[in-house]
Amino acid sequence: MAWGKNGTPDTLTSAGDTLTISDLTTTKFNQFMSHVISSSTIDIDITFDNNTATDYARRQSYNGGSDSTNTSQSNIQYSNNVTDTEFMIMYGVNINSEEKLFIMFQNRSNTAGAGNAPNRYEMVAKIDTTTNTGQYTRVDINNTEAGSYDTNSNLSAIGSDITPAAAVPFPTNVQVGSRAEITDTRKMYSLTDPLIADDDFTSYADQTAFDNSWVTSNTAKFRGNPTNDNIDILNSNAYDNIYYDLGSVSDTKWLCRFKVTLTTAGSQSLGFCYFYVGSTTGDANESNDGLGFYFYDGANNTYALADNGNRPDQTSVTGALGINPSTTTYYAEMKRTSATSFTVTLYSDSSYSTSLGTATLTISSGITGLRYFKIMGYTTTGGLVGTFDDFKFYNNSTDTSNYWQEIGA
Amino acid sequence: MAITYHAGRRIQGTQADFGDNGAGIPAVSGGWVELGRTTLGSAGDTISVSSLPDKKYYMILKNVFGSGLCTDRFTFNSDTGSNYAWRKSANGASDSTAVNQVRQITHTNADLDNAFFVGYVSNLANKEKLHINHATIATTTGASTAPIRDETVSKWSNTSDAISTMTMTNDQSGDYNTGSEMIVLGWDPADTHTTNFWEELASVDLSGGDASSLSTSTITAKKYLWVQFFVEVGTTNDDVYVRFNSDTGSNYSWRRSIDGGSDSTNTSNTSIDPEGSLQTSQPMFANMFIINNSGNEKLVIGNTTRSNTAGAGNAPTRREWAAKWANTSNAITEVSLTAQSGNLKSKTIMKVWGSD
Repeated sequence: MAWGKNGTPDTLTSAGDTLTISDLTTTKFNQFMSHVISSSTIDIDITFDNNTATDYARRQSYNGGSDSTNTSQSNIQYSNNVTDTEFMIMYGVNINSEEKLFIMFQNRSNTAGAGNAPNRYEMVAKIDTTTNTGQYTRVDINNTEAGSYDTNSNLSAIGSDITPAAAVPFPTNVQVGSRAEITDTRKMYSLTDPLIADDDFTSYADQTAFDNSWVTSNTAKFRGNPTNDNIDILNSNAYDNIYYDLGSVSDTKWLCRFKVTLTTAGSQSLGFCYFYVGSTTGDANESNDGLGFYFYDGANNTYALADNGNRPDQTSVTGALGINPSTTTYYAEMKRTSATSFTVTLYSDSSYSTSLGTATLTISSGITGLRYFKIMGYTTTGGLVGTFDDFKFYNNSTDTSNYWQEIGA
Repeated sequence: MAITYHAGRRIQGTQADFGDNGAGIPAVSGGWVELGRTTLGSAGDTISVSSLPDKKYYMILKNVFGSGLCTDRFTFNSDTGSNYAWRKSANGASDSTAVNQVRQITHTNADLDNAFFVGYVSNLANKEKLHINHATIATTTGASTAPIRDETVSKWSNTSDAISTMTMTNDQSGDYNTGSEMIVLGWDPADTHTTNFWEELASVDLSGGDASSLSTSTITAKKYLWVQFFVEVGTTNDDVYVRFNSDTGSNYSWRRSIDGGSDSTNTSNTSIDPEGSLQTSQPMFANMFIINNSGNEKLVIGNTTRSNTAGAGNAPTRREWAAKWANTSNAITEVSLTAQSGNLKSKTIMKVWGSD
């Protein structure tokens, strides 16, 4: 046994009021580390196992002053009505049927700048056994003040009775179609390639073949180019589109990647160009369910968007990537990671490793039935121009690896 | 059950083998891992650890043998601009502060004959770096003198860089002697390593029944020790003695603060007695770090809390203490807890981790 990561550390990716580790192993000793960044006024209230009964008591000293105590509390409050950044180290003992004891040290940044000395807080605390006699398996840090914990606030734990070990992956280096038989649950899975569309546009014998797969509503705006083996975005200045029928798309997990090269951008007043997976073949002014992103010259930005039965050009769920469209090549990645989360990232390289900007949207789980990949335009005085290539769509997976698809019991 | 392969492209395994959606058995990552260290091979005024990877948290272990006047002035990324502020307390005295400093300080006296520091740092590039430090310092050898204890918090106001270098500098006339050392450990939520700086040396308990003492038996001698124990006595007003290598001679000295009160000292004692009289059904939890060089006095940074009377209507008590074992010929190879007169209860448990 040794010290090991205990539970899943929680690092906020957006502002919030709670940091949680909900999967603690019941180790006898723990060390907790937290770094809480305030947006404005916050407090830091610690609870274990979601117990908010008055089972907590504490003793503390602030900046070396005389101890004060608080008894019959509903949490361990180690910061109250503060606006700075708080770093805490806490040792805890977690023995069944005994009161849980804690020793804590804290550095509070005080007002930013070296002109303000940090403050220190020393505390001991306990939880009695009135509500819970067993070992705790969850810890929360909660804010009840008007502010919130900022992005990158973190709560981590290491535990004493853990044996670190490397991961042992279930085999995926076997043939697609192999069957996994899980003996204790009696479930069966088939190794499945998530790649359901892979098109570098080299396979089309002629324009007709190309047009049959990538269907355009206006050949003057968007059209497959069998000579150059790509799709030409001739001008995105109208409510037109070109689409590809993906068949069936998961309502929870998929990954879409492609290359876009803009040859005209940044000089239009209202240029839009959408890259989108929708439930219909309609244009940007037609209601449907869909997820995607668009370049927007007029705002000098790029936005992820989500539509739940509304028009893409009137969407209200957007997130800026912070990328000013320019005449360059972008490697785009759109990823639905759950029923309610969607992320768009643009990269500068074909290995999709150097991010230029990203945006994650919290979306409605009602966005379902997606089927058509579309490139769409918007009626305006000037559109974007460029090419589209190297399209890949991975269904039921958020990465490119083969995955085990349940096929029955 | 091991994964087995069968005809017809069939693979068999258990749900544990298969994991979440076929992810398999997840990795179990380790705790604090060593990122870098510098040990002086000759006397000098600087100890620096550089090329540190960016980790969310750092743990810093420093062991200094000073000659003459000697200090630890501490910087990050070699920044000697007026970008630091700190707060400190020596031997439990009132805090003092300084702002717009060109370095942090981690102690009070300009005398580090034998000093042991344990610090933690939060490290987020776009936020001020916050440092919590505790030190036990012996300026006079022998058990007749209690060690000094220092508590400091400090910050580096930089909000653009992650820490990559830590440097301790002596600005007095003396030197850091050979063997003085700084080790930087790291921990990050994204870590996947399976190694640990802290190796478990002993895990003992009294699950077999109450007993007058609990010993680790012989453990491997390691330079740095981390000890935690939970102890409960069966007799009212019983003390629990912490001893090393079963030494019951008058070779221990310590100072402690009770519930934030003024420090008191005990010298030439036969044990370390962090709590004093324990009551039945009022267990104590202790955390100790020890520098364990065989040829030097062993220095301890300790903190304890006692549950007090059961129930949330009674706040726990706390002790902050610094101790030393004046032995200069042996490394610690055994740690024991002994009840003064009665028994330790069966819930008593002690773990010791160590590393060189």
